[in-house]
Amino acid sequence: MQHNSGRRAPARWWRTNQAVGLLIAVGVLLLFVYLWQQDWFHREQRDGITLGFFPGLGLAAMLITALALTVDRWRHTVVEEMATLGWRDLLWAVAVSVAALAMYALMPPLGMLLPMATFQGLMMLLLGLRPWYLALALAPAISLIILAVFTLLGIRLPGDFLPLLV
Amino acid sequence: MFQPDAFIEALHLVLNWNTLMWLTIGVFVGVGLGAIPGLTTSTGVALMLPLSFTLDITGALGLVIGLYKGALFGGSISAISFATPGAPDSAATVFDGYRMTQKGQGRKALLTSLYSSVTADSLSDVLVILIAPMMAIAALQFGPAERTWLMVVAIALLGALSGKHVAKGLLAAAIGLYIGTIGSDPMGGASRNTFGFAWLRDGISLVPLVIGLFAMSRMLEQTVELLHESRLGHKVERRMNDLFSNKEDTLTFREYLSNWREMGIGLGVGSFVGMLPGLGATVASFLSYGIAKRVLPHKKIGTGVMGGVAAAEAGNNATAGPTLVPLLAFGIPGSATAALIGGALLLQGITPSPRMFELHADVIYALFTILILANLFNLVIGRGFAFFYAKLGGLPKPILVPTIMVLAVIGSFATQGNPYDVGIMLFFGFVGFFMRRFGIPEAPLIITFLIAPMLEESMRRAVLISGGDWLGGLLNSPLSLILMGLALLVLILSYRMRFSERLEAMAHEEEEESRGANSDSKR
Repeated sequence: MQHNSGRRAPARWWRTNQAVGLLIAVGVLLLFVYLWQQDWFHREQRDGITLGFFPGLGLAAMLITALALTVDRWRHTVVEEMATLGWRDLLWAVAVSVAALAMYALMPPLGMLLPMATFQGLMMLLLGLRPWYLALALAPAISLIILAVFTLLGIRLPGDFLPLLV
Repeated sequence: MFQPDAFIEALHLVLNWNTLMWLTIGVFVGVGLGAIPGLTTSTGVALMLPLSFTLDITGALGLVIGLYKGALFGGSISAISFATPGAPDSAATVFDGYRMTQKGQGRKALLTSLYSSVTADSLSDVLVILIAPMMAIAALQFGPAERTWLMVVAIALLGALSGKHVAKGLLAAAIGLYIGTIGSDPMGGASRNTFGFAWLRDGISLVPLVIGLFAMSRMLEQTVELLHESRLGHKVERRMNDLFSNKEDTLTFREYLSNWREMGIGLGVGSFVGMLPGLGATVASFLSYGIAKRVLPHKKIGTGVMGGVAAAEAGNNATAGPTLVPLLAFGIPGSATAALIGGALLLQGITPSPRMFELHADVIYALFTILILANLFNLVIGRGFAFFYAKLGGLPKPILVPTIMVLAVIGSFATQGNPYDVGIMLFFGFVGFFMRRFGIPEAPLIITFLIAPMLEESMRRAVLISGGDWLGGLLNSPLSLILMGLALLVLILSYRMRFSERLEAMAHEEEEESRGANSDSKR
C-alpha cells in the first residue's frame, strides 16, 4: 500500500500498542463508571448475583488485557497496518459507513433501486472504475440483479422496488 | 449410540432436490468467493447467514457448509493463477503453485490442489464422524463447573493462538464476552446493559454482528486501500495468459497418488489443528507445508512441485470438518466459521451442544452426510469450473466492494426486519476495521459472544448448586481443577513461548526461501 498521508497522521507513539492499549483502557474505565452509576448494575438476582456482575466481568477482562498491551514486551511495537493508518483513512471509513446508512434510510421513501444504484455508482467512481459510463451502466444493472435474486428468494427487503410501487 | 431411524430420516432430509440445490449453490458460490482475493470464507458465510434463515435446516446447512468447503479450495485458484491467495488459508499454496504456473504447469497445480483438498477433506470428515459422538458422550458427563472451565480453556486457547499478540486475542475475547451480556440476563430474563435503548433488550443479533465484523469491515479496509492504489488488474491480465496456454499438461492418476505422503501430512496436521480452538486453516496449511518440506527433502518442495501444493492444500482443507468437533461435542465453536455454522443452527432454533446427538440426531446425521456430499460437489464443481473461477479472481475490486456493501446492508436488515440491525452492522463494521488495522483478531470476539450466555449460565448454576459458595461450586471436582490448571497453563505458555510469533516467523522464512529460489531460477 502506498501512503502519502503521513503528514496528517498522528505522532508515532500514538500508533504503538502501548498508546492504543491506554486509549482502550481509558474508554473501558469510562464505560465502567457509567455502568456503575446505573441502578440495574447493583440489583441482586434470586441467586445472589448482581445484574452487573457479568457485564462487569467482561469489562474487567477488557481492562486487564488493554493494560497488558501497555506493559508487555510488545508495548513499543507498531503494527504494520497501524503504521500506515492516517486520519484521512478513518474519515473515509466513517464517510462510507454514513453513505451506506443514508442509502438504507432512503430505501423506504425512494424505493430500493434508486438509492442502491446511486450508492453503487458513486462508490465505483470513487474507487477508480473507469470509464465513468461503465460505472453508470453497471450500478443499475447489478442493483437490478441483486433485487431480482432477493425478491425471488423471498427475502425481506427494507423498501419497495420503485417509489410508489406497492 | 448409532440411531438407524434418525439416520434414515437424515437421508430423507438431505437427499432431496431442495437440499442438493442449496448445497450446489453453496459450493458454487463458495469456490467463487474463495477465488476472489480479499473475500474470505468468513465473509462469504457471514453474507449468506441471512439467506440461511429463510431455508429449512438441511438447506441452510447445505448452503453454509458447501460455501465453507468451496471457499477453502477456491482460495488456491487465485494463489496458483496469479500469486494472490484468495484468502490467507491459501497463502502457503503460492510458494509452489505459482511457480508451477510460471513453468507452464498451472493446470496441473490446480488439479493437484483440487484433488488433495477433496481427499484430505473427505478423510478428515470421516474422523469427525468417528470422534465427535464419542466426545459428546464424554461431554454429557460434565457438570456446570466442568462446563464453565471447559469454556474458559477454550477462551484461553482462542486468545493465545488466534493472533500474533496474546493480549490482543484475549482483548477480542473480552469484548465478545462484554457484548454477549448486552440485552437480558440469561437466568432471570431481567433487562441489563442496554444503555437505555429498548431495542437492545433482545441483545445484539448475531447476523448484523458477523456481517459487520467479517464483511463490512473488510470492505471498508479495501475501500481505503483502493483509494490509495490498485494494481491487481494489471497483474491478473498478464498472468492469466500463462495459465490458459495450450501447452498446459494435466494431472495423471499416478501423479496424484505420488503425493500420498504430503496429503497424509496435511490430513494429520489439519485434523489436529482444526480441532483446537483458535489456530485455523492458515496455520494448518503453513505447518503441513513446512513439515512436508523437512520430512521429504528429496521432493524439493519450494521449487514449484506438486508436493508443496498437495501438502498446503491438504493441510488447510483437512481443518474443515474437525473445526466442527468442539462445536458439536461441547457447543463451543473452535473457529470463526464454526461459530457462523453454529449461528446458522441457532437461527434454525437448534442450540449446538452435546445434547444435540440425543435431541436432534437426525440433524447431526444430516450434517455428517452434507459434510461428505459437499466434498463430491466440490470435486465436480472445482473440476468443471476452476478455470472459469480463475478468471473471476480478476474481477475489479471497484465493482466488488460496493456490491458487497449493498449485500451487507440488505442482509443485516433481512433476518429480522429490524432497522436498528443495519446501524449495528455499520457500527461493528467500523469496529472491525479498527480491529483489523490494530491487529486484533475477530474470531475470538464472535466465539466468546456466542458462548457468553452459556458461560454465565454454567457458572451461576455451579454457584447455585453449592449454595452460593463460589470456590466450592466452581472447583468441586478433580476435572474442574485440571481444566482450570490447563487454562492457566495455556495463558502462561502462550506468553512465554510466543507460539504465534514462531508460526509467523516460519511462514516468513518459507516466503523468503521461496523468493530466493525464484530469483535463482530466473538467473
